[in-house]
Amino acid sequence: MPSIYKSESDLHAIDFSVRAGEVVGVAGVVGSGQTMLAEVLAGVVIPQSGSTSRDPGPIAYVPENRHRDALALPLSIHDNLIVHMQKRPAFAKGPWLRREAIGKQIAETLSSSRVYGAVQDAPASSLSGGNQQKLVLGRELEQNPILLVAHNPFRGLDVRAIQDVRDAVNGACRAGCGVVMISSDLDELVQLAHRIVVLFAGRIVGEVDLQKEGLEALGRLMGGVAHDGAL
Amino acid sequence: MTAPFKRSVLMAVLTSNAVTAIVIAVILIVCMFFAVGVDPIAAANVLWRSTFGSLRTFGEGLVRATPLLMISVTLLPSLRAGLYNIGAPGQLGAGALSATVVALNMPNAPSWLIVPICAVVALVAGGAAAAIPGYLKARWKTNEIVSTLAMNFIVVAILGYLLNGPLQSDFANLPQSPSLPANSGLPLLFTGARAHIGLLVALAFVPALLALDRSLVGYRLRLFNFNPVLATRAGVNPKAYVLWLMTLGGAGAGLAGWMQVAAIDHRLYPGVANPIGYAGLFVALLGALHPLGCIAAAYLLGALLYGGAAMQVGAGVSPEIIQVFLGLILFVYAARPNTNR
Repeated sequence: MPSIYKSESDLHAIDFSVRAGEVVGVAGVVGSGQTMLAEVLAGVVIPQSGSTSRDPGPIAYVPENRHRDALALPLSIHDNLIVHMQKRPAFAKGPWLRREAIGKQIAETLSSSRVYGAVQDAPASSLSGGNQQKLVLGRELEQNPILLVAHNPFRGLDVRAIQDVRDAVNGACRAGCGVVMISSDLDELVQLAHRIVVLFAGRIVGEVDLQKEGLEALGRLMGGVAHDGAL
Repeated sequence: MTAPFKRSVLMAVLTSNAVTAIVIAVILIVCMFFAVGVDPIAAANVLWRSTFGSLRTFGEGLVRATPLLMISVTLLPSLRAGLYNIGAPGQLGAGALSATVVALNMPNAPSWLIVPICAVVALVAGGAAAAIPGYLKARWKTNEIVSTLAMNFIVVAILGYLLNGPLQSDFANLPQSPSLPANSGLPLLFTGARAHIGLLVALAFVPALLALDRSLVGYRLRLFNFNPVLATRAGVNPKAYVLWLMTLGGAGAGLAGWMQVAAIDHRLYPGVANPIGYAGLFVALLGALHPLGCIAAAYLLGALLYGGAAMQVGAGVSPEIIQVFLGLILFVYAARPNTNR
């Protein structure tokens, strides 16, 4: 995965693992290093030290700021959808795109991600926020990824879109994809995650088993209070 | 449903920012004519006659337009990516220089050999002149406006040195090269005018660019232009793209330099780039960064530049008025509403 930039990461001693079909929630307040963690996991940023080991395969990334990072808004819906497809020989032959194959796959992706009424040549900016997010998710999941990194995926979505996105994430899980959901929205994390780790000031400060410990323990860890009460 | 489609393309062009800018500039220049006591109708008449009046004058318009088209078309991909390569004079000079050196060293070679070789050499030299700022930009994010501008000075200095020294013609103590061998000249398009096959070379880039837009690389370029980070996830190497985009612009300018020495000047002067200057960039912008727009804008400028000289004789207008007119067009175009990004 080509990196965009190597950076002085503000993350320290991150050490956790995700298994196929598992949803790991990463809970953290704003400023805890969520974005950096998301970018490192997605392979967008290469850390100065440390290593990741993963099975080979595509990684799906749904960033927090979909307008800036996940979409090229002035470009058409078609162009935004084929970002990963055009890397594969099924959709590109030599210097040319296989328009028919692409057209079919796009129609399929749009309908399976429940983006309705989209005109392929219309700019991506013409879609609603919910449809845009579903487009991004559909495009990322079309790769059959082994890992999905989602950062605040439900931000700014209406109830219906939230349900659709949740279904898409669950669908990916069932297909064997590992999911890391980084979020400040505890309700969603609690509903979707199999286990929850807490990120605070660039560190994983612990894992919370909600059955045993409850939301209060989660909140305390997110605020930087250690298990034994010390800060 | 072809008729409605055609109408909408025509309307899109007529109401485009470029055409609007030209119309406004025309209004302003007519006011200026009145202010200095020049009859705008007479001036327009002379301009028309010097553009379409005869085959020779039409050819002169084409001669002026050819290097503008050449430069602007190869500048389009880099401009679309937000790379401002203003090194056309230097890259043109590099191309002209290398074509001259090669031609002077092959005085007896046949035309079919020397012409393509000169073209290729000029293309490579111009590309190399742009690749240096391109590499600086890719590797260290050096501002390409500054680096290409600096290269202009460097190339002009090299030209000056060579043309006063090793490359100087033995004939007169002037900074100019010996005359290029006759075989290196470019064939004319039609008799009775100086228009040459360089125009066809420049025009060949237009369908190439249109095809590129529909290709895989064209898609990746489009993505790179609007979201470089997302493009990286699509398989783009941003540094390589920057380098090649800049090099392409330089290659086109190098070819324009070759055309200038091989078809027009027939020897190398230090001011080889002066008739063209930065107008290639201007044409690309006025053409709304579209290859077909570049054709229209290049011809418009070429005809105006030639017609300006004619207006001095025919309408008593100083030819600099054309420069004012072009400046007005650019000024008004720069004030266009910014709807994207």
